[in-house]
Order: sequence, then C-alpha cells, then structure tokens
Amino acid sequence: MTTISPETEQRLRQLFRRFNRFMLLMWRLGLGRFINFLPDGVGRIMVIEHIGRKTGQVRQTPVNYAEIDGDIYCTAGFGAVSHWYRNLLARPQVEIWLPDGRFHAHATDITNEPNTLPILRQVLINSGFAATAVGVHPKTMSDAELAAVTQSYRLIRFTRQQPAPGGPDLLWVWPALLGLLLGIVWFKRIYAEEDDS
Amino acid sequence: MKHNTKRLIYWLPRVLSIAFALFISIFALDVFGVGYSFGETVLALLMHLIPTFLVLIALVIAWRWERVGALLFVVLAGLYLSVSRAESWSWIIAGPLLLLAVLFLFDWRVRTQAQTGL
Repeated sequence: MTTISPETEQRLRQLFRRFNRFMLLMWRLGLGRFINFLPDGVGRIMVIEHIGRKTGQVRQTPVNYAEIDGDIYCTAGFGAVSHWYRNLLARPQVEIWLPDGRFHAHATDITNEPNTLPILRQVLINSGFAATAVGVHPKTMSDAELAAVTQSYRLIRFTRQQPAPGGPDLLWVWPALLGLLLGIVWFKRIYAEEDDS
Repeated sequence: MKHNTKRLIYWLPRVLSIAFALFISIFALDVFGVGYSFGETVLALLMHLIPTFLVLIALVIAWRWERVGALLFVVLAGLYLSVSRAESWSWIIAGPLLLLAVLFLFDWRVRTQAQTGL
C-alpha cells in the first residue's frame, strides 16, 4: 500500500531512474562523498554493485541508506518488483560504495524479521526528499501509519566484509577538463596578442 | 541601474549556460566503462554530446545576439519536450533552457534601454 496512485508511482520511478543515473555518475567522478553533504535534502546515498540475475552483467544502483551499529540498511521503496532487489535475492554477495570506501558485503532481506520498523524509519529519514515525494513522512508518522504505507517495502541489511579494491573510474575527467580550460585560456591569450600586434 | 547589476544581468545567463552545458555533458560519460572499443567510445561520446553542442551553439549565438539566442533556447526546450513527450521529469532539462531564454531576453532588454537612454 502506498499513498500515491499507480500513475504517479510510474512517473516517480522514471524520475528516480534519471536521478539515479546522475548520482551514479557523480560517484564515478569521485564525488560520492560530496553528494552526501546534505542528508536532509538529498539524503544519504550509496551505490550497490550487483550482478544481473538474467544477464550476469555488473549493475550499479544508487540507493538511500542508513548505518546502524556497523551494518548498512536500505529499502526497495517500489517493492519486490525492483530489479536490483531481485538481483540481490539471486546473488546476495555484492559490493557497496560508501563515502568512506568500497566494501564487499552480504545482503539479507530482513523485511519479515521482528522490530525492523525503527530501522526502516531511519532509512526513510535518510532518504531526504525521496520519501516525502512518495507521500511518506517518516519524521511525523506514527508506527501504525508508517507500517501501513510501507507494507510493500523491502528492507535489506548489508553486512560489511573486507574492503573492495578499485575506485572512481572517471577521475581522469577532472585533469582533462582542467587541461581543456587551460588550453582555452592559452588560445585566448595568443589570439589577443595577435590582435594587439 | 548600477554598473554591478548590469554586469550581473550580462554574465548570469552566460555563466548559467556554461554550467548547464557541463551538467548535461555529465550524462555523456555513461559511454565509458561499458566495454566499447576506442573508436566506438569516441563515436558514442560524440553522439551523447550532441545536446551539449546544441546548447553551446545557442550560447555562442546568444552571446552576441541575445534575442536570437533566447529563441534558440526556447526551440531547444520545445524540441526536448516533444521528444520526451512532455513527461514531468523532462522539465528538469526544459525548465533551465526556458529560464536561460528569459535571462538572455532580460539582458537584451536592459542593454537596449540603457543604449536608448530610457
């Protein structure tokens, strides 16, 4: 049960897909730490690197998360239909990209475990505007209200393991951009000097 | 109108256009890391950068002829909305384009008034 119509949900899924594409590129550019600077607005965002259950290809999905007692939690707000969630069920061994580094992790669906509502509430608080956009107000809703509107949500726990190798693969863009800017400045100077003479 | 305000009105649409071009260029970086060969990567990058090139062309024209540039920004926004069937998310791209058009028109108006002494 959600508080929005199926049409609105479909529109929001499209919007989040584009937003996620942007967020993933921010991580790949090495800006993962910086996009977590405004948790109340944008939320806390990590990336799950998982394997497609049909294609076997590596997939990356940005999600909101909360860290509680050393474990990482996230939720599939659109329920069990989310591809990344189904991929996690098929292959729970994943890699997570957090602001303090990349880690191998084991994913477990804990939706049906007892007393998980406070954890889900914290994940939703950490989702910034995303929860509010789908009509969920984790800071003000009572436990009963929150449980009702998040009935279809899935809650996943990631148990952090050893650090994973690798880092942002698009870091080279920054020196390339700097080189381009310096080139433009240099070209302008040459051009201006020629004009003067 | 103060000199600093005029400078702001002149530079704001130009700087925002460059920032917007950089923003949409980020999406072109998707082509890296998907297993393309060098040639395929260059081709894919050029194709993904077409929206950036269009914005830069509009900016170069608007820099000199604000009204024509503003019109081009409106056309780009209209094109994007029609291609994306005006879905609500498409305003993330079309909205800033329309804003840039308004800012360039405002700049043109302010400078015209200053020149005619109105």
